[in-house]
Amino acid sequence: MRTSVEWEIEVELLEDDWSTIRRALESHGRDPEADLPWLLELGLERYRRDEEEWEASGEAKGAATRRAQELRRRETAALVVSMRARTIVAEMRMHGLSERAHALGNALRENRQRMRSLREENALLQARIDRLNSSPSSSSTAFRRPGLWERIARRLTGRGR
Amino acid sequence: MTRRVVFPPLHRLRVRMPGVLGERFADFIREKGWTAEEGVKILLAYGADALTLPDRTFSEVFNEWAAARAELASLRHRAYLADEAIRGLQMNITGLEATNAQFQESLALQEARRARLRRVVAELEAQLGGEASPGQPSSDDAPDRAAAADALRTRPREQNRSG
Repeated sequence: MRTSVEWEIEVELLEDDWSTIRRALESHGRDPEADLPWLLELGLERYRRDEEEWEASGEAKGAATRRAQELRRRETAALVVSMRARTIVAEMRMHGLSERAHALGNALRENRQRMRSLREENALLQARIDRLNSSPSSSSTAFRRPGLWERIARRLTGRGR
Repeated sequence: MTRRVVFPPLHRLRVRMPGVLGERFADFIREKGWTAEEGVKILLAYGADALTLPDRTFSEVFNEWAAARAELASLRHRAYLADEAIRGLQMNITGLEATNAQFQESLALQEARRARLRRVVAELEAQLGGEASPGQPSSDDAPDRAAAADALRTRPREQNRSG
């Protein structure tokens, strides 16, 4: 025994295509939202029937008869409606990702610039420390101060307080 | 300058297929190899087409089909290009996010190092009677700049490791 399958599917269509579908439903006194399952069932039945007709007229498949042409038109037109929405959704996603990549690229450039600037500043500070340490007053006065070099070493290495 | 792109508006709709219709739909899309979303869109369009029955001549039918076929080929190509671009962009974004996260850590370390060095400079200057205001470069810092430039040239790897 097969269990009942209940589908609830959310899809996106181009507004123009949806307008065409809505008008078609309304022209038959149908509600555009509530009668979507009815329309889908109609489409399913007609697709099946057209497919059977196409299969049955095997010898005429390549022929440019009016009926064969009409069957081809119906299928292609329906595929186009599906593909339009799918393509636009993919292109919108691509555009969104492209903007995100662009923003991240800008952030990376700013980070690199900031890193360069910090390294230069730190090298400058380090050079200043070296110069102060080697200055004559440093060797005559500061060098003799008890605990100075231990404190400096702790600060530089970040160990202890 | 950012590029403004305008996309055609989309309409989102929800379709509920209870019981038997749901089973038929499931069998149908499985047989066709379509996704459920594709199946819904194709069948809704197919059904709507059945409700509009304009009296077309053979050449009108042919022209309509030819135009649809050309549009379908173009749409498939565009979708393929978009899908490829999406894959590439996703990889780029992953790489850029990781690099930026690494930079944030390294920048924080460099900033901490700067703070430590500034304190040491201030302390040394205080001990030596103050050559300049604490933590600020002196007016005559040309020797420091030359030494710093030399250090950056000769010890880039050490700078990198220290973060």
